[in-house]
Amino acid sequence: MKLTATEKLFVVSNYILLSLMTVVIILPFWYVITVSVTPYHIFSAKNGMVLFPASFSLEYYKYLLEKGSLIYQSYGNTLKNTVGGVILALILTSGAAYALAEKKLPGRRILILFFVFTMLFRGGMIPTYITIKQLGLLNTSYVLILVMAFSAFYMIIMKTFFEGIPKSLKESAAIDGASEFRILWQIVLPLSMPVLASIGLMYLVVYWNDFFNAMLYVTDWNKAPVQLVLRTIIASSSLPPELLEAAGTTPPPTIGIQMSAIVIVALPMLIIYPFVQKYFDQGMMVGSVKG
Amino acid sequence: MGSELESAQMIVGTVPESGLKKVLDRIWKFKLLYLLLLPAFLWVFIFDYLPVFGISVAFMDYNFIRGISGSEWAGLKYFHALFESDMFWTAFKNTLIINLYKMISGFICPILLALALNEIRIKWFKKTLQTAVYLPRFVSWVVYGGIITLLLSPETGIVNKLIELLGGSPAYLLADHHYFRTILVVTDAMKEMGWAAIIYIAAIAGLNPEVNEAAVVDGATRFQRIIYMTLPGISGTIVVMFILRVGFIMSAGLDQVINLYNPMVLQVGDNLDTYIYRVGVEQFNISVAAAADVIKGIIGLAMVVTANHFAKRINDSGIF
Repeated sequence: MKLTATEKLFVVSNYILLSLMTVVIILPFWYVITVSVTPYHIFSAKNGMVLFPASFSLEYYKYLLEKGSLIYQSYGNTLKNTVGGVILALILTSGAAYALAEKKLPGRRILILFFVFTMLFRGGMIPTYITIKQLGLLNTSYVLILVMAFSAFYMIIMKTFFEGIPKSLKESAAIDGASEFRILWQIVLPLSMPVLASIGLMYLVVYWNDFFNAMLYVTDWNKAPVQLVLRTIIASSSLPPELLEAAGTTPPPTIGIQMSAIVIVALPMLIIYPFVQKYFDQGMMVGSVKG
Repeated sequence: MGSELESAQMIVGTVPESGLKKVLDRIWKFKLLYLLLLPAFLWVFIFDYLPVFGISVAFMDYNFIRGISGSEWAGLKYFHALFESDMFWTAFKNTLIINLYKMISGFICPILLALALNEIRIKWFKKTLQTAVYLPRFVSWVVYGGIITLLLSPETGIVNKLIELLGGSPAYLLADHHYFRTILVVTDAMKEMGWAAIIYIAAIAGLNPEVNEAAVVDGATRFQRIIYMTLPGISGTIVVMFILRVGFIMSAGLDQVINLYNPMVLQVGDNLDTYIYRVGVEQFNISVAAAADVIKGIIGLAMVVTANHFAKRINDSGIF
């Protein structure tokens, strides 16, 4: 294909602009990692301009992991909430999506409306808080698993995918005497790995990154997820004593502690994400065909 | 005649019965599907519908100890209180302004990004760009807010160093009400743009390539193909995303603002979400905050319904 001069200009500037934009988006992450491994005297001598680490040290990480017992505990809470939450969310979402994908299901339209309405109108922060309180869930260890376990939006995406699976597969399995459970478990779900993976990962991100529900519903530091602890570390100009086992020792400069804490909290997501990105693409393709 | 009456009675008497039985039979036939649906149904009822009933606290002198059943009705008292509160109107106004800015950046940027990415023909380059621009979406606003705070810090922040290098004077950007909304809009775009573009990228990928090839044969330039083929091709997706976005007109990004704002910029940064949080959770004025929640929810719902209505009239692609 031959390009005219204007088109060449267009293509070249497109490449340049997109590359620039990508650098602007990625640079902050790089900078945080650099600051977290640069000794403070170098950081301040260079006035914060430490885009390339001149010297490498893990003192901040060492300090956080040795002194911040709450980091371990909250990490454990986050892991527990995330694993439990994603499993529960996938069970709820795929069950509903599979049932509603059956066009002959009596009452299907009303049931779909029942779910879709929640995408348009919600009770809001305070009525939800009151409900959680009246259910006796405030400050329990499973409130953070329960409150995020279902999204009508993801259910609709999954339902669209299930609708695309050839009917004949299900029918022939039914003739062979398979129950709906078996058809779902042995035929539909194995065929739905891209959408299960992508939606599972979206729930995973929600659970891993939650701090606001924790702020609302959990007051006990022993149940706090790691994002909430990180928020406290960032918000306070010094380390809160309740986060430390031995508060007597002089802590290293706050900025390094804050940045290494950020890295510790964000790293798992940043590491797994590039490996699973293809699932996101596939899953979203499915959802976009018909919202 | 007697037999006619009898048969008529039989029809009247038996048809509904067998009709009902038929319906029940059909429902029974799908019992396992209902069973699969039940957990999600219960979840939505408990966590989405019960709070809708919980809205009643906006019309009560809610007493935290005695709960809903033990509190007295208060009529519209708390709505009146809201309408007379300057802080509420500031939050209301800020919500709309921040959203309008974000609508322009956060809605248009992803579309432009998707169109631009579509013009990249080198596969590995495109993949790399995509991976990079989605990345920020996967960290929380606690993390991203911390990063932004570091970048903008007055003493050590790299942005201020750049400003100095370019001859400007450093400023405490996050505490300056001139810059705060701009920071909200820019950082929101940086964090969410890539991810938001995914849906348009997928929509473009779904377009029929033959139409595009035909246009090439007819001598259409790249730019013409974008304007006259690709963009109209994804207009349905754009409309749907717009309607969904309009529904959030009363949410200015709670996670983001709560991690970036400070008392210095309350005047420009406080919005309905942060207002509700502060008044309801921090100051414990449950009923006032719930009243603000009601206003927020109703306006949001009205906006989606209106946008959907117009979308249907204009190009027949609403969401419901």
